[in-house]
Amino acid sequence: MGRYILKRIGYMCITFYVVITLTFLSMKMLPGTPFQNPKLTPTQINQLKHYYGLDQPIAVQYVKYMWNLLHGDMGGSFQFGNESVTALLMNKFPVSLDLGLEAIILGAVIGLLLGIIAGLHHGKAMDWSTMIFAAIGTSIPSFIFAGVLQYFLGVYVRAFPVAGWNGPSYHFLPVVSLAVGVVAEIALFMRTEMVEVINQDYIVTAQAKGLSRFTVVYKHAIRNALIPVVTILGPLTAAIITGSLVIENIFGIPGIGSQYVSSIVTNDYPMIMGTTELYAGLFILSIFVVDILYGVIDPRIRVSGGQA
Amino acid sequence: MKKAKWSLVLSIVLALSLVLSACGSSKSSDNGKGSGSELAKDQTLNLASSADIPTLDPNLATDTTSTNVIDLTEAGLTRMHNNKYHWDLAKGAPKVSADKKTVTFTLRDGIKWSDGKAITAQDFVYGWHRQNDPAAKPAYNFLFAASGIKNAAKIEDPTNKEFYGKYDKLGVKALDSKTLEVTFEQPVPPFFYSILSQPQFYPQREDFVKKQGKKYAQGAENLLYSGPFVLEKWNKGSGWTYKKNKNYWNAKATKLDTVNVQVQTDLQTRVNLYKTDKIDAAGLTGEYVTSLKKSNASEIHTALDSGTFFLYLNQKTNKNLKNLNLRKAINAAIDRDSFVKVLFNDGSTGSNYVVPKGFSKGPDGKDFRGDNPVDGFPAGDAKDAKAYWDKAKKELGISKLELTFMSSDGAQYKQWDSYLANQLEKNLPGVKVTINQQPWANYLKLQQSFKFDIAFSGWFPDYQDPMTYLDMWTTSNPQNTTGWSNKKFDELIKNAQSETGNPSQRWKDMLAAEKTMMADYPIVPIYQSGKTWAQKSYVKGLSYPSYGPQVDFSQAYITKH
Repeated sequence: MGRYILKRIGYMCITFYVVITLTFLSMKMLPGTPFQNPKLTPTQINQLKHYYGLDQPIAVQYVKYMWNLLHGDMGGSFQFGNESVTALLMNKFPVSLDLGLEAIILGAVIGLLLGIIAGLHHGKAMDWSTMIFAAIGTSIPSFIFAGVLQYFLGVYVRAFPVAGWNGPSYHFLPVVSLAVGVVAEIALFMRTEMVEVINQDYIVTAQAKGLSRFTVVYKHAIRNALIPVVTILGPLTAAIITGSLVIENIFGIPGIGSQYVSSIVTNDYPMIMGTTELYAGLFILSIFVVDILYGVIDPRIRVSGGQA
Repeated sequence: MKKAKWSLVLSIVLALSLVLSACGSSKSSDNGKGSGSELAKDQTLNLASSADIPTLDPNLATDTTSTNVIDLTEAGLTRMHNNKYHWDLAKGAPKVSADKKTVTFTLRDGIKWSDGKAITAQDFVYGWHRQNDPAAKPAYNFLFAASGIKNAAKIEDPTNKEFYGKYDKLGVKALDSKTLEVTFEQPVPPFFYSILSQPQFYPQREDFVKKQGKKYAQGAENLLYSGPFVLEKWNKGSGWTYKKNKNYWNAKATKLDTVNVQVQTDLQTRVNLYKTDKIDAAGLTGEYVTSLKKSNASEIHTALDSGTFFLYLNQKTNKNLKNLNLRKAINAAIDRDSFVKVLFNDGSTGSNYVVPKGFSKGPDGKDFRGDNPVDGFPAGDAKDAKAYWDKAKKELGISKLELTFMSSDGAQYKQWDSYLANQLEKNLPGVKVTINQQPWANYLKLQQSFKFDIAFSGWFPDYQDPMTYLDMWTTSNPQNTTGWSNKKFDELIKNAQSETGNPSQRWKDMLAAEKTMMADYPIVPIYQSGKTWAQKSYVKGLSYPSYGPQVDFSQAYITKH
């Protein structure tokens, strides 16, 4: 197990390095400069390029960037008066993380429950209604839900604040808007797995042994059905935490989503690198955690993992 | 993790309790009209901004959000209010020498920074020097050269070995702590007193800037304030809070105690916040103008802005566009009035002029547009367009023409571009227009390297004078990305620039310059921007001027409601 983890960490570092390098190179291919005020003259732009070392060969810039990065310096943002990228990320990322985790927890809990119930009642009304809900949930984009919820619960009923991030009551609308998709996806997945697992021989054996229905479902069916769900949960978490741009915009949440887009549009090189590193790191980490979790859920992987 | 879980549980509990309480009491939103003039006890104004503050360093600020915050928290020798300049930190009109090349300001008595120390003439000198120090990365120091301050142009010119970056050679001096002397290359230009209201001309205090070092202006506590408000809080990404500055010399004119601004990038969200009384004013465009005009008619206000939007016609690399009749045909083909009515509906007005309406007044006190055709030069209509196009076809020996139409790729441009391209194809049979939308960075690059036929963008003023719209079109000016060159125009601009001592002749030359330009159509003006906003009836004195702070609440107040 120890060697397995070490090897995984090694792969993680290589992947991370490749992502940084590729991002750096493709970013430098973006047309234009970070200095986008139409009133700047070409002379002024050249001066600014020189000041920030952007007139040097890309190889030199790359080595410099990597050197600074190894020393924990991500540079200063061009969009925000040269403010340190690290500070900007540290300021905004926790908000996105909070929002994303709440949504994923809420979505996973409800999604699993619905999926299990639907799976157990395969082919019955309970199953159908859950599946219709899930189909709606996956097919309608979250920003539509967000707009409808904001108008109905925020403006019309006035039960929740329309936008902002100033306390628990502000969390409800964005978290629910984000969670709907998660609920739907996990419910669909869990149901399929449950249906499959329930028809397995070992379930019949367990039932034949005279175990209670609860024990059969809880100890044997759910645990086995959970394995594939955990697989998607990792990347899904990473996607929800990093991909809530639209929700963050609609509800005025000071997260990192809009930062990523605006940094690309404005050629804010240090910020593009910083956000990409954060996203890539998160994604790689989530896959790593899933790999470890497998071992916890499924002892077979724990044993064979050592040789893999 | 734990914290996240807790806040989730809390939010659900709270959510449920709120749903229940909301069911119990159906609050009505119409609780009395705030039409009285009695001041409310709570002088708090709540606003939303579509963007966070990019920077508060007056050297780096170039965008409207940053400039707006700096305008309201800092002070210069003058302050713009309702499109007029007023003496702010200057005691009154300065002493002007006989040759009009030396201007001496006296500062008001008892003016103080937010930390209680006196604001001195040396602080102005330091601020102006810092704006001309390349190491402090000034973005808008060309305003010093545009005003004709002594040596400014040379200090900004990297090819000038003797002067470049030597900010101590700038024509500004502190005669004593209360007296500031400014010297000029030529007589002081008439717009100088309004340009003094811009952040580039504000005082900065050397000991504070040096002590803060890299942290200067990075947070609310890393600045000193000299204006009507101080910044109490700046939560990056979510908003900021202003408090009345008790140390401001004119604090008695400031009635608001607190102004909260939240960052909300989504227009619909801002409208919803307005409808639920969370913010007291909100800018509107398009469909929201129509819908709020129906639901909240008395709260809708409109004003003309100073942005001008036009098509650049590239006659440098596109030989066909060198043909005057073709340019005239393009100009006549576009129905601007329905363009602004259908797509904006926010007070923007179709234009066929270079210098906008209601922006600058001449020595005769009349608006520039009052002296030249008020509603612009005749644009013609579809019939004229066809006639010009027929002539152009004959002169060029063509029957068909393909043109690219380039703009930035902002969401709103999709509709605008299709409308304009459609007008050209409809009214100039045989013309095929290909729309090319590019990210802003690339748009600028392509425009500067003349890789387009028609480009669509706008221009906002730097100082309150027609020259800010005119001098960019002289031959080989980097902003003139049309390749147009007209000797008479160049000469009129050159004359006007040197006639700062003779304002009425200067005015006449600028009028003539616009006329000359609009006979040649190097650009096709489309519209002058306007703004429409909703404002609660209990908010008074809030203004959206065409020059100066974008949203000016320096003298706003809340009435009882």
